[in-house]
Amino acid sequence: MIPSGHYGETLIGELNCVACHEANPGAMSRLQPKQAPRLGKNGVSLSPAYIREFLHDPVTDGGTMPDVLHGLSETEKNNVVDSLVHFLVSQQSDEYLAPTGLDEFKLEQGRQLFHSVGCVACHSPQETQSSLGQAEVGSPDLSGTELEAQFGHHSVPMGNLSAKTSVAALAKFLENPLASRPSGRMPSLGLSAGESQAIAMYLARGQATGLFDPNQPLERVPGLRYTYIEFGNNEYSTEGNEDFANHFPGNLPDSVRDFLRVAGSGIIDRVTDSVLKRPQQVGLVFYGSLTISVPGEYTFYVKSDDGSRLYIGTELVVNNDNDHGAVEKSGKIRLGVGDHPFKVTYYNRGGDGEISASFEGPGISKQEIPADRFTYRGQAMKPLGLAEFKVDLNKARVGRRHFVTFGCAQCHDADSSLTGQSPAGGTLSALGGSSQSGCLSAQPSDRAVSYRLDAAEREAIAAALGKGRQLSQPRSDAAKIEHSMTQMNCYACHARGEVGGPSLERAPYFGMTTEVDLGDEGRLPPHLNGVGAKLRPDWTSEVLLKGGAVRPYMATRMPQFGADNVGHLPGLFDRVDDPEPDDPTGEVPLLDTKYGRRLLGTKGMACITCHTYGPYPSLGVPAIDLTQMSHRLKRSWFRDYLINPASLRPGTRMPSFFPGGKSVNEEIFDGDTERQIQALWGFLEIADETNPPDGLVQGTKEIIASDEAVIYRNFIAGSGPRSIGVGYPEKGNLSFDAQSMRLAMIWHGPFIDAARHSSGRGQGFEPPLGHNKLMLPEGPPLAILPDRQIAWPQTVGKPGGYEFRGYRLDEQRRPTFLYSFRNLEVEDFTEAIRTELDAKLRRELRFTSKATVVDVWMRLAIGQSITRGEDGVFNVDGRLQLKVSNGGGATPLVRDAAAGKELLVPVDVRNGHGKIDVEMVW
Amino acid sequence: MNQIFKTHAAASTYLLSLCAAFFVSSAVSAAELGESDYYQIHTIPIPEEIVLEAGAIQVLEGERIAVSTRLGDIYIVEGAYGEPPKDVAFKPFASGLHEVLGLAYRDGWLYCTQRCELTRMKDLDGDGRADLFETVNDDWGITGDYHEYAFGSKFDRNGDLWIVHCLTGSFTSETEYRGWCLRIKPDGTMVPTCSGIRSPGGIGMNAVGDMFYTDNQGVWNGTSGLKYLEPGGFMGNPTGNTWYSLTDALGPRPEDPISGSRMHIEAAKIPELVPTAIYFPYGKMGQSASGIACDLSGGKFGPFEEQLFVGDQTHSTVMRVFLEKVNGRYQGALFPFMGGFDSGNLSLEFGPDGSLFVGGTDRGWGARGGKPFALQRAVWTGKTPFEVKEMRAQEDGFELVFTEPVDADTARDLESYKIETYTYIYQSSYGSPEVDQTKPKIEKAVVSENGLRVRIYLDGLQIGHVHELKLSGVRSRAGNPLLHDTAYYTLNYIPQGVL
Repeated sequence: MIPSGHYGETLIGELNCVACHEANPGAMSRLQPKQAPRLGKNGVSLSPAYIREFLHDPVTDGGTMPDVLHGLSETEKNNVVDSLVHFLVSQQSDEYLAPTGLDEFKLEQGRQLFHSVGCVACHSPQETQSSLGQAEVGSPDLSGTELEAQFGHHSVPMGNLSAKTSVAALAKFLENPLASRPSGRMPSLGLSAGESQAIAMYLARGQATGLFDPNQPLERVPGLRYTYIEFGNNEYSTEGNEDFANHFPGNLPDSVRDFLRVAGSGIIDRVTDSVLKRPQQVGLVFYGSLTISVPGEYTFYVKSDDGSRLYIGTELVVNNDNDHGAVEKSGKIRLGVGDHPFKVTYYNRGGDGEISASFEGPGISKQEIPADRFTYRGQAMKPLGLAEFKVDLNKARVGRRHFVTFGCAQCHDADSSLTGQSPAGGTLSALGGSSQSGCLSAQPSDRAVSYRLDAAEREAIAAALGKGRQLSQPRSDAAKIEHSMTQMNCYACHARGEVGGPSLERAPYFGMTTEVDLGDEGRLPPHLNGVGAKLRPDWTSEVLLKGGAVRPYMATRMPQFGADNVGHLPGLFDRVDDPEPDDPTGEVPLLDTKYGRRLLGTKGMACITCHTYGPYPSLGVPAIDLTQMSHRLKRSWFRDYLINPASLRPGTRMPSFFPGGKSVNEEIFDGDTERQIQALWGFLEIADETNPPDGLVQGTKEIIASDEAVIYRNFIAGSGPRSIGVGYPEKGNLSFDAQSMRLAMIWHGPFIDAARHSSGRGQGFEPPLGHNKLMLPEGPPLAILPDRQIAWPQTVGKPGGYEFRGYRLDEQRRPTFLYSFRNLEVEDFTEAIRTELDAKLRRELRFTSKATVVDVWMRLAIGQSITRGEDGVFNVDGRLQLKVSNGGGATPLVRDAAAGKELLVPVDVRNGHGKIDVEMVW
Repeated sequence: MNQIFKTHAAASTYLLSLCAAFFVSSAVSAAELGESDYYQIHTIPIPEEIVLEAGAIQVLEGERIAVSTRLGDIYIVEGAYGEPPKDVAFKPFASGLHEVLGLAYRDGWLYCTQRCELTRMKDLDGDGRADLFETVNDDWGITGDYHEYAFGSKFDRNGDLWIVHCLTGSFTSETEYRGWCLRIKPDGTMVPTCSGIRSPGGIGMNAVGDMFYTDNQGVWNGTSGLKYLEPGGFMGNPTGNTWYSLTDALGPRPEDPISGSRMHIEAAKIPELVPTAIYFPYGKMGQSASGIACDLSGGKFGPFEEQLFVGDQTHSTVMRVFLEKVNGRYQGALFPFMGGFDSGNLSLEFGPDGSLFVGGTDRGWGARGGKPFALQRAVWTGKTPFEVKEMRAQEDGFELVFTEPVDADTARDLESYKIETYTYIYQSSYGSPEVDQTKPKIEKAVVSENGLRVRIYLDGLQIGHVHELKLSGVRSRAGNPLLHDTAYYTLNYIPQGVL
């Protein structure tokens, strides 16, 4: 269904019939024919084996290339194809040869990108939506699958990419498709080099034979492997860290070794920290080989903040270890020709970080070690069926002639010295409306080319040719839009008129960059009905030609088709959709703009609840940036939209604040709708980050315990989702974790800032304010240890035998937490005591039980070092002093623990009662 | 040959069907008389220093009400019943709680549903502030995601308190019982009661004490709905159904529905699936359905005794619901009731005087009212609006009951009515446009002798569809148009053999 009903004309343009059948300028302008891909140095670079197979039968591949050799005998065809292959390979770059190492992280990245950024709007998905969530990457062979049945006939084919070319050449193409395919049918999705490589790796995954066959040998491929580590944050599990610790001989203090976590790995082209996911408490290990081609003495430099080391072979060449700012150190080593094992380790504990590696040597001045020096042994991805190929110049010369005589040069630009012959097929206008002859014959003659058109296609083309002079007449503006939207397949994403928008099958692949609560508006591209009345033409140009975009939450990207192909659309949209512009003009009075600002903010209609505002996130969902509105929208559309959003954008979440044309705000301008909208517009014209509406700039909302204690139950960072924070007037504070029944944190000074949880939707964990924040042991606070050798258990909360029972407040509103551990009821009270410096905390635990209780211990501290002073006070790592009394029960115990030492106190329950008092100074 | 052009043939009707869902926001009828002639809104002034994002309301003895907030405070409000309210006092009763979206009262204890637990509290020392906070039950998980809300009911006829738990975010259930309704018995034990919940906005009982909740548009919810919490039932969103592994209370895990189907089709296959009792057509009848209150005032709130009133947060409105049981399950009609509230309506509670307290907040979710929070009271003026009071499904149409006798001529005239039907795609992606539209033929309209009832005979009732009936031509005997001329009946089942 071609919307214009100009199916035949569209075919004539897309099949580029005018390359052989000369058309007059009027017809050329009407048809906007598609150019064939560029060949040669600046064009595509393809595997010779693939070219050979393709030329034998291009139609099977599914593209628009006809079989021009169908009239030849098999022997003749083989000879012609052979010479053409030699000619084409002699012309093209050898990028098709470059091997790329399989990087499973990149592969996965490419898999997700391919299915989310918009590729599958035109191409068939390679995997079902549900399988994308599974670890195993799907096979590239879709034949016979449900996907093929569902999408095969409605998708632009890609050919066998695993055989077609290399990952590197494909990546180069994806990064800028217009360079070799200037007609824009394959647009640019604004992919970065890394993204292009990732998608290329995924699409050519058939080359990663090791994925499907673990016995494949490893080969030397470009790049360095890296392992990325996060450490020092006790929210992370310590599982699986040993591997990493081995990569860091002596590089990290023992204290952080237990908190290491491998957080990523992959392949990279140089020593850099660009892959870090956070700036601090991170480490990297790079390893691979360094290629040396000239023997001699080399000097290596590593510049880093904090520590780093550089090894060659087993030798530590540069030692730049330990915490420090950006410092460069160097070391010398003699190296012979060959590939030398190479490794750099790096970490940054806090503050700024950086890492780079340079070298100098015979004939090499000091420079960053370039990418082409690094290799590693891995799974090499190369085009399937790639065999050694040497261009035979004689054959290439013959091929060059064939390239002209068989008409290849009519369509393909391969060599600037070659031009097509004058069109040989007779002019387009002379072809007439017969569908029986030439290329339109069911069995095209030897002179014609074979597209293997079906009857409907032949008839449609013939009907279009039969229009005669009409084919040279300009289309109406509306028809031009439809024609361009058909050619560029804008309809795959956008509805306009009766056509377009994601199909039901493809719609699930339109996703969001992050999960935001915007419904389908957050993931499906907008319809284009009346877009010319909505958007200013300069903004439409920005979107079409300069990547302008205002929906960062939408995973699908607006492609760039090139100015030659869509540069005419902004003006057309404007003329067709908005023939009689009625945009109000004139400046809005300054005072009114101030009311506009008021209306946008929380004292007005609170538009900022949903809309972002320049650098300020909204208080709710990230709907389109308000500061962009007046640059994008026409003022009359803005007005109509505010009055009835759903009439212009069906199903929108934007409610009307002027239902039935009547403003919900009756205070400003006495509820005058038009003046309010004008004021909003006036303000939006000057809106920028210097004048955010009310409600966006959140000050802190410190909760202050002035003359009695205050409680703050919320998500507090460090003590879990069931935190109960307590601030005491003495400026000692604590947070109790009511999931684990443990005192989780204590700190001094200001208690907590409630701004996070009292603005927007209140998402996230808020850390304590104040100073001297001390984390207390995780895990269960109580345990039954019949034997002192038994390790402290890990299970917390209900599965560990705990129930939270609530709390009681005393007259100063200080809580006594109530909970139980098996048959033991616990009352856990803490008070803060003012001292000359920071407050100390005194904690009173009271235990009752109706049953007999034996061997119950309470764990009060974990540390590298726990010592007992002469006064009986326990000292934990020099940070915390604990004075403990358990009512005359057995002596506290300091014992070895997984992470150093732990302090355990016996819970001595006599006659159903027991107590532990702890004074904490920190 | 090449397949490029065929791509365009796939250019879908997806957004087109969205376009078909085009509508104009429901118009307010009755040019002369408006909602405020029948129901007035009294705004309770809130002291400057108090942020009253009213999560729940509980009436107390002595003309007092308790109001809880999203920021975790509970106030006892005195003087809220004045017309207009004056000498209003807000007395802090508790603070530092975690997002309180449910309040109930029993035996001297105020119960509050916090995000993390059901708590009961009491003032032991008589200073007006609670000092004992007992955890009644906390048998559900929270991860720290803001979306994991818990809405608590009042006590049901058995003394149980029901809590509906929002999923984690829109698409996942990351910890125990996210997406479930849990019932807390008087002894504090928990009984898993329903699965299949997405994102509740309120919970409340009808006149006979059956429990309902509102669930908002999103994944597996084509539009927001009022759903009957039939014990053992599956409410329609399978995301949280992994937790069947934790309990035998509901029997085995039901079969997952097929995405892209229709709810009534899946309900016919999946016995546990309880079809949505009332759809709130998106944009026409609000966008974020919230609190539920039942008028048990015995006529003090006007002619709608025993009907349900449901808030909408985005549109700052209150809607009205008439329910009936057909085929053993609830369904019924939805009517516009009143708009113009100051903030995003969230909590609804009837006072003993038959007035309706409405608490609102627009933090994080914008609302038409525009004020960040509000506490208001809707009071009947004593004047009866001309409205469709009840709408019952019949084998071959509907029976309408009006609040006042209709003018027989206009009520008999088929031109006075317009009806269309539609439903929603029941799917794993977000929301749905209105789909499967039909226009049944109105064959006749028969007016009862007393003029209070009109029987509409239709050719083409559609199972599983909203029947949107416009009665713009119908007049009362006094010659007035309806105050609200549109009704939305969700027809899950057609009664058979009903006279």
